[in-house]
Amino acid sequence: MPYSFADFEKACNDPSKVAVSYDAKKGAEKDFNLLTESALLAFIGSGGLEDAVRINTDVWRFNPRKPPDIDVDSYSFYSGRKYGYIAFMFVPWTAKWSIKSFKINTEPNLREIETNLNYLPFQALKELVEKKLDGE
Amino acid sequence: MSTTCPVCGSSELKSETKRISLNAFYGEPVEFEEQVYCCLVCNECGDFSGENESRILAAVEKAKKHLIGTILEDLNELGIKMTYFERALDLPARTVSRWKSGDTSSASVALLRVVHAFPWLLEVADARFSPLVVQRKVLEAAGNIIYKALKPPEHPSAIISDYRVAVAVHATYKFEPQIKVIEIGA
Repeated sequence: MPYSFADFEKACNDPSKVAVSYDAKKGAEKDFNLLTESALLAFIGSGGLEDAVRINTDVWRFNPRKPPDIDVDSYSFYSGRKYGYIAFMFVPWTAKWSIKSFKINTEPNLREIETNLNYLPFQALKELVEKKLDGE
Repeated sequence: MSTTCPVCGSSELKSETKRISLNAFYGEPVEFEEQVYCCLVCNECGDFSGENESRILAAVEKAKKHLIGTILEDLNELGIKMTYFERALDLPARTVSRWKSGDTSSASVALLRVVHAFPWLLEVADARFSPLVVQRKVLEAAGNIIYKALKPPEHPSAIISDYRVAVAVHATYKFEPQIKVIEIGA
């Protein structure tokens, strides 16, 4: 079923419309310090998934209806310097969204690489130290 | 109302109770019991009845109270008086006393955690967040970390390099920013 990412974000503002799986709940707690399902949904609903990019679509393997007609979409996103991964789907017959996964993305974090290249926190200290040492 | 799977709508469920240890903050983890349902039709697992939310919040509240007490003890050991804490941060008098008695908010806990991690921020706040003081305190803190990390030289040849590092650490204390610092309101 076609949907926009904004539809999913908007739905998260109504907890009755979104189910959070045990794995997603645990990932949100461990990796993002979002301790409750309502904290996770409020985070998403208020636009917490920065620069979300769809990375994959896969069939919902445990779909009880045959043939399987529901896809699970996965997205990468950022939250500050953290690089995250979320997978979710929409189930038409219950009219609910389901968050299957929410965790740290283990793929290379481009934002962190770029930040490190542009902002080297100890570069200024290093240059200062070298100047002082040359002058001593 | 019977519990059903929120994903596929099935009522064929199994449930189990798990003893969970939550590391919400540093210090002792808080424990609580979590009810987990699994759908036998679509394999989805989660808090289908919504009963864990209040248990987690109660556990977090307990952890926060413990955390506030621990942080205030630590700051006291560093010689930081609560009257100084309140004045530096422009907080009303006896704010910390109210926190001690349990009258806290998420913002007050966040502030305490930040000051606990970086106690020198109080000096920055006391200097009205002057950019010059910010830079000095950051470098001082960095110098302290480097200095503490220095190990006694294992070989005589290492003395020179350690001396050079010591000079570098000393330099951070004498740091004068070469950039123009714009003071707000100046």
